[in-house]
This record gives sequence, C-alpha cells and structure tokens, in this order.
Amino acid sequence: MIVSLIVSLVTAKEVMELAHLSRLSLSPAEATRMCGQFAHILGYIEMLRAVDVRTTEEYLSQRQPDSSLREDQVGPMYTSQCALSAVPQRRDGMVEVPKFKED
Amino acid sequence: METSQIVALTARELAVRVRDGSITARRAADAYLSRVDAVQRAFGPFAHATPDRCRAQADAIDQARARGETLGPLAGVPVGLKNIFVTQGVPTTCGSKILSGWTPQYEGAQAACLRQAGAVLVGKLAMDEFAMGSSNENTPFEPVRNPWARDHVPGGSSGGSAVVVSARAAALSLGSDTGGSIRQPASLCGLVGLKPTYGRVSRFGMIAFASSLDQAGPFARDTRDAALALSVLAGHDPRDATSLNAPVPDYLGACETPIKGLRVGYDPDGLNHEGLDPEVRRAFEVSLRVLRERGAEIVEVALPHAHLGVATYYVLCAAEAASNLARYDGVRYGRRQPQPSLDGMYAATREAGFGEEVKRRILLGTYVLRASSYEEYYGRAMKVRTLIASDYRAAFECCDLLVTPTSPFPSFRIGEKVSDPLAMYLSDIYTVGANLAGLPAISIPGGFSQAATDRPRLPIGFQLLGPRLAEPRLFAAAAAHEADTSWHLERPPGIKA
Repeated sequence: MIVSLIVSLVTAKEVMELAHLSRLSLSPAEATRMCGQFAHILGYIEMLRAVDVRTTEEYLSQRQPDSSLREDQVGPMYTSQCALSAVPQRRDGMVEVPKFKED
Repeated sequence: METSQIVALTARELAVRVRDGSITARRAADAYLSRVDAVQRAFGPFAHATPDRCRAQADAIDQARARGETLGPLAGVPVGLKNIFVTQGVPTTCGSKILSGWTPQYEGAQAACLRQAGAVLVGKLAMDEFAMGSSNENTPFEPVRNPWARDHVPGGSSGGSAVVVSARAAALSLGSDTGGSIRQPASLCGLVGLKPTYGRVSRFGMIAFASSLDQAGPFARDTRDAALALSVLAGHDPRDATSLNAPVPDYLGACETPIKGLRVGYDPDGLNHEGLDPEVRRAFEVSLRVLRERGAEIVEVALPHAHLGVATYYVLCAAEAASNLARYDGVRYGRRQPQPSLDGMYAATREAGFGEEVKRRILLGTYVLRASSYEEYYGRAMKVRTLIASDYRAAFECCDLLVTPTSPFPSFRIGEKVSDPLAMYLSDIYTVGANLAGLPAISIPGGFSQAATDRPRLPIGFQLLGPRLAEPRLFAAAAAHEADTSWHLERPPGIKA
C-alpha cells in the first residue's frame, strides 16, 4: 500500500528533475530503473513516519566541531605547479573550463 | 626465517623482531610482497600494489636501526590502506572512475601515522565506490572475492582491506566505517575490525562520504593487533574539526584487564529480526556464553528504536553524500568529460564517472534534502537519530557493553543481492547504530556456519559496542573472548601461513 503510494509520487519525470539538481545526465532508461528502486527504498523509509518525534530535537553530536580560527602562521605551501598538477585541463598556469559567460 | 613463518607472525610479534634485529624490515617486506601477485590473482584485493615504496620504506627502517635510532611500534609491519585514504604520490581513486588518474599531492593523517610508527605500505586496496556498499560489488573494477569461498563476497565497503589481512598479504590494514564498512567485512572474512569512537582517529585525508558518520579504523588478525594499531592512529588532529582532543589510553594494556563483573547487555528484541540467519543467532548465543564463563554478567536491555537504524541511516548518509560528492565535477581533479558548456561538462563528467549505486544515493540525498521533503525525511531522520542515541545512553546506565551479531548473515554469493539495493542495505542492521550514535564498536570472530550443500563453512562475527571512548573496555572483553576461543586462529582454505 505504502509502496504503491510512493510509486505514484516519484515519477520518472521527477527523477529526471532530481538528476538535473544533482548535475547528473541520466538516460530515460536509467531514470525509469531508478524510479522503481526509489519506490522500494522510500517505501522502507516510510517506517520513520510512525515515530512520534513531536517533542524530539534533531540530533546534535555530543561534542560540536571546533570552529575557532587557527593561529595566523605560515604553514607548508604548494607551488602553483604542484597545486595544478591534478587539474584535468590547464592553460597558462590556470584551470581551464568551458566558456560560461558571454562576452 | 621462512616466508610462511614471517607472515604467520602477528603484527606486534613482527614489530618486536624487527626492533630486536632478528628479522630485517626488508626481509619482512619481501615475505609479504612475495604473496601479493598470487593473492591478487585469487581474490583481487589490491587497487594499486606499491612494492617499490614498500621496499624503500623497509630499507629506511633497517638503516635507522643500524644508526641506533629507536624504531616505532609498527616497525617493518606491512600494511594496506583502503583506497579512500589519500597517499602522496600513490593513485587514490576511492573505487571510482571519477577519480581515475588522480595522484594526490599530500599525505593524509592515517598514512602519516602508520608511516611514522614504522609501518610499510604494501598497497592501496579495493572498495565499493565511495564506500557505498556491503559486498564490494559496487565497483567499475573487478569485485573482490572472499578467501573463505572465492564465489562469495568479502563484505564491504572495505572488502579489499579485509581480504589482504585474511589472505596474509598484509599484517594489518586500514578501512573506513560509515555504517559498518569495517565491521561487516571483518565479520565475513573472520577478522577483528574496529570502528573507533567518532573523532578518535583523524579524518584528514580520508575522502568524505557521510561526514557525521565516517570513521577510520583497523583490520587485524586478533584483538591485540587492533589495539596496537589504534594506539598509533588515535589522537587529536587540528586539521579535522571533529577530531577529539582526548588522552590516548594504553589500548594494548587494556587487553589484559579481567572482565569479571563486567555487565554485558543485549537486546532480545534485536534477535527477532526476520533476516537473522539461524546459524548467526546460534553463534551469538555461544559467544554470550563465552563471556559469561569469563565472569561477565549478562543483562537484558531494551533499544526500542534500533529497528529504525537502517532507514534513518540511509536518509542521512544519502543526504550527506549528495553534498560531499558535489565536488566531483571534472574541474580540479580526476576525470573530465569534455563538453561545450560548463553545465554540460559537469553533468557528463558525473554521469560517466559515477556508478549506479553512487548515483542512486546522490539522487536519494537530493530528494530528502529538497525544501519540500526536508522536514518529512531529513529532519525526521535527524530526530529519530536523537532517539537512537538516547536508547544507547539509557542502555549504558544498565550495562558496560552491548553485544549483537555483526552481520545478520554470513557471506553470500557474488551477484546474489546485487539487483536488490534494499536487501543489501539490510546487511547493516546491527552496525549502523554505532555510527548514528558516534560509539566505538568492534567485530571479532564468533564462529563459523556449518558447511552445507548450499553454502560452504563461513566465518560469523560477534559485535561489541561501548560508550564513547570506551575502546579499552571493548579490547578487554574482546581479548577475554579470544582467550577462550580459537576462531581467530583459523585460516582460509589454501592460505598456509
């Protein structure tokens, strides 16, 4: 019952929209396959709805990450050549990407 | 000393012999390296073997000894690293095509800790892509095979890390555990696998999957080797904002602590899970008896929200993965799929670079984080996480440790669960709780299934969980269990050492 309800909610079109938000270019066949798997997984996740969480706060780790600033000291540095060495496409010592702004 | 004798030593025995000069680090490295090709052909655990680096590091250890320098606690111990750990100058793909060709310019904290302790690197190890999986089948490369049965999975996501230790191609290895990825493969391969307290081991240089859950930890053949490894890895690292600034206790010494009077809790309802294999349940009851006979007091506790763990975990880890994996866009590192437009390049790169399970979790994460479903899914899961963590806090007022099976079933055949993601997710039913609550947990050998016509004799794991930073208590109980059992001494068929 729950699964069939979710199937009607998550359509292949919606999976394609999620793919767009996620910067993934799924094929229609992949989107259809994912749609079926989503129904199955979200159907299982539905069990969380049965839990009364009206008076429960969202989880906070017992120790929150330290957000203080580091000392302002010179540390190890990479040369630009080293820093750029893993970049798939470089030009004139910079990262090269397709044009994204009109002249 | 023969190769088989060297690789039969525990990591701590080997380090002692390297320090006292009865074995050179080079001889130890060569002994392990002589096994790499055969182990790789049989089980495929290596993503990238590093024999030259291993020999060079071993020679440096021997030279340091010759100069009279004090050697580290892992002097000359050959180790493997899951390919999620960044290693300077060694390709690091995190099991994904999207990072193919990436050779990091820096060394992560985990590789540095091991190196500074004298360990030598045998290689980088295969894994489920971006640590998403329980079988090592979510990979664009060859799946890893279980040394106990070649047509069975080693577990995941740290499958390669389990296999190198099980097949004696490394004395120790390191994995990462987001929902059980150290403990479940340790269970399926007959090893000890430890997920330390969240923040106990630095995550600097460990590629992020779900940052509120991820933690690094060791695989070892026995409890004391795991304790030795943690003593090297634990400690504060200002480069990881979640790293705990807490003293590092004597973990090896803790293994000698008697457990008489220790209150060991278990949740009877947790054993009513319909997917629990009867042989795993039987083995669990035997391990409970072992602890009782060592003087532990067995008590029943209630974890009323534990059955919600997998659903909670998959909402949260998918949300965090969708965020963490946004950085893989083909611009700064890894693979790029050229396209005329920037948006087109991002999408084509990610489409070609990520495998199906990774895409599924990114899409699921994007779904649960959308403004229209945030409260319904992510917000609700974060509240249920609070309830799960509260259950553990309440349970630890009645007991000192909790025990469960590690995995509801022993290893399964390659391909058996691959078409049903949800069935695979349920592998984690006993392990995700420790990640959700940030607790330490260890899986230790807890018996074997009986050989039958439809499955071979396979290892079964037994899990112990403790309150935050209670690793010494886990080691004490695990060592006591080990003292009265011999499952940890068994070797996979055909592994002679």
